[in-house]
Amino acid sequence: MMLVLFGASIILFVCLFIVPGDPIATSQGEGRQLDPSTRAALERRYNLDKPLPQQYVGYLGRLAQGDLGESYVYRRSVNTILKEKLGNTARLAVAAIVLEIALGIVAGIIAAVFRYSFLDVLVTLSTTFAIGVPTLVIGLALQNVFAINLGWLPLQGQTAGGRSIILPALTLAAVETALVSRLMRGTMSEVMRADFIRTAYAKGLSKKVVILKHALRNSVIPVLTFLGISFGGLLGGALITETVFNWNGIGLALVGAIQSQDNPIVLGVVTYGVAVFVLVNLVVDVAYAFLDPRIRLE
Amino acid sequence: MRFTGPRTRVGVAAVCLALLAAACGGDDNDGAGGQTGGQQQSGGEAKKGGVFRIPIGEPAAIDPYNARESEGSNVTVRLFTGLVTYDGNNDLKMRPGVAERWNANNDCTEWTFNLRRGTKFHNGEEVDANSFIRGWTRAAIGTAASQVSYHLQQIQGYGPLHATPPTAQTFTGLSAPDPYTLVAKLDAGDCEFDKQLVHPVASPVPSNAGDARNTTFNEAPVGNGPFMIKPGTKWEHNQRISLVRNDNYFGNKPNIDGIEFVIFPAQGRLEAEYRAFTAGEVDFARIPPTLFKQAEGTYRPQGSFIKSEQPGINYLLINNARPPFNNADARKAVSMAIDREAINQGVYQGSLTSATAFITPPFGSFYQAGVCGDWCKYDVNKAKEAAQRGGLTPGTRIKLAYNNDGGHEPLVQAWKEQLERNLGLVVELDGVPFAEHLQKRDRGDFDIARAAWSTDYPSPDGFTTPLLGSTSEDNDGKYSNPEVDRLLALSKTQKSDADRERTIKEIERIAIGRDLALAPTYYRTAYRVFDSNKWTGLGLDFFERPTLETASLK
Repeated sequence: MMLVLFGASIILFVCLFIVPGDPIATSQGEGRQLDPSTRAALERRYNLDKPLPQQYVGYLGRLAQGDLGESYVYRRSVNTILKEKLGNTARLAVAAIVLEIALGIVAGIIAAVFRYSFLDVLVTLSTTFAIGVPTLVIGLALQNVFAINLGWLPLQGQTAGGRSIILPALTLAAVETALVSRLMRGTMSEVMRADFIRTAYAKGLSKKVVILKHALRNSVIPVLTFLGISFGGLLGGALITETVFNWNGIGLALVGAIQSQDNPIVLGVVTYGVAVFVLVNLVVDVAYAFLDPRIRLE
Repeated sequence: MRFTGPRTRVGVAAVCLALLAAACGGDDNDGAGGQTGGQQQSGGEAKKGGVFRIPIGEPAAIDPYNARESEGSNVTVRLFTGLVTYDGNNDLKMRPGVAERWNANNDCTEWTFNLRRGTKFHNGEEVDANSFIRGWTRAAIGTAASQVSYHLQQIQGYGPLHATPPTAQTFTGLSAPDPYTLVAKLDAGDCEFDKQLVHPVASPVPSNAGDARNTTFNEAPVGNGPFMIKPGTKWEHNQRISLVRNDNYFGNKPNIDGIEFVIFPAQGRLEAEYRAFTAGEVDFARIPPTLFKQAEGTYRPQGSFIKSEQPGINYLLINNARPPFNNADARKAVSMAIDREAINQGVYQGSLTSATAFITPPFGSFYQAGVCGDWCKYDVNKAKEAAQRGGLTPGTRIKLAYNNDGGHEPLVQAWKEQLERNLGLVVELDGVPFAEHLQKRDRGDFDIARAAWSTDYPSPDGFTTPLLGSTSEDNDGKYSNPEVDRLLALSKTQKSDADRERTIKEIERIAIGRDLALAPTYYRTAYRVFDSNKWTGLGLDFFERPTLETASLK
């Protein structure tokens, strides 16, 4: 895991320096000719006056102490900037994943159990719709209905407390919920045809027990893998949703930083993203073991 | 925000606001128009109260030491009042701020400011001459790495103070003979030095401001202006900045209780703030260019539409330093071969005003309508004749440079098409991101280019010296005329406004009317919408900021 992080940081560091452009000129007021003295002061401040390997070593040294450096543009600690944004991204991700689990799994089970019924068709149609329509359109449509026309929920921002999160979470969860329910329906339908389910029914177990205890547990593993990866992705920020709802999260930070060549933020976000991805994968692997005894270590 | 400005060699302060806006993703409602439509003054006694909500982008800084872009300075100017102020009148005269009176010696190398007594910072500390020396030194010292301290570079001792590392800790040219007198000695005479001091970097700071890296002050600056940071709050990054009225302000107190700056991300900001306005979440917004007609149709009848002439100019930058455009006739040919008005209607929905001069209408009596003469009028036959005289033969290949992150493609496509059709030129488009575009211009790697300029102090010198002076680093067209250089130097030391006006007008007549150093295309006009059901007395000032000092509840 450390190896992955280390490799990623090297690749990224080198990439950022290969990209043409002048981060000091760009970040500090695009195109304005800096006077040599201000430039020298800034290069010294950000260690840009040293050779690349030395900069990298310095970066790793600070990283080891948990220090991600200072933003070129905002002249604030990247740790502080990311901390604000991480909290927001995490809240949105949790809200979205809860929606995905609740709506996606339930819809999937219903569709699988009542195959070819009206409900199943409804789920299939609505998931097709959710997958087909771009997130941007879903977000804008929700805004138009609930913020502009009905005025029930805030259009954007995070200053209205818990009400602020509803629309962005719905938008963010829409596509993934649809995917979860389809996946759930697929695996569950397969499991429902398996011999052990027939055996369970033959034992005289109630339908509820068969579905929730035997079928669900056996069909949820692929869904869990998917949810894990999805959650990892959500924690990495959701650019479109964050943009539409002016949600101060990681996705926006990354795009803004790339555009202004604010390299310390780019490095910070990507390092964080890699770490999250690696960690979530680890957690999912461990969760398998709980769900499927065959995967447990002897 | 992106932002370009003067290079230090020219002793002027100017920012390229139009370019800045354009580079921020198509926010380019450039050009100019007639009257300021949405401005209304409330009759009689204005109502008190209300919090005005205004969208901004995340500022780079609101601390005056580095308030370097429109977002941050929009906040900073509410928090601080400098020695002088400017109310946007076309007479271009400075008004008293903390200084009651000020004057310069005969060659304008020494300026004396007499300060009001008893004005206070928000924390109750008195504002005196040392508050200014402290603020200016804090910004100018090399370790602060301020990007706006160049506004103070004319003061003696700036060089060693601003060096990296600094070789001095103070300005040798600043002194306070008594607490209410500030004397500034300049390296060279400048009879408009006072105008430079409208920039927020010239603000006073209280004794506890600390250095530029004092985060407490960075996030909640204690100023002396008409508004202060709402007690108990500070800048909530990427969310909001809340200000309340300073009831102890020495000048005219605002009518509104406070300002809430609602911070939007740079991504899609224009669209987002306009939507937030339509949903009633902010009281004021810019207008996405694609929605311009719709917004005008909806909001103008309601009196919610602000149209404001701004000092900025859009122009066709021409490379005077190499063939074919080292010849004035060749420059005039391209200028006459482009149809400004057709492009205005076709590309900009008629939101611009075609330019007939270089120094724009907001400069009052300096404005010389039509000084560009025939060179700014579309006339294919005359263009062809000029091209022939200037050796700009059909088939000549020229490179048209522009920044490709500002939504300028329709404009440059139209230019290309017109130049190819009318003069038979072969126009190669060269679009690159803004920073790179400016580097290319610096290197002279272009024949013609899309450009824009504005100034952040109320003098046309902010146009003439940087763009027409042969030693200016902002003169990317490399126009060079000894007569113009002589007049520019003369204008700096002319104490009489009338004399200076004559000189500047002469410069424009030579450089534009005769030589066409560059081809003006459009005056800049800014458009905004605001909630006129709730507010009145709102317009845009010279610096394109809403006039919150005069706004009031309806």
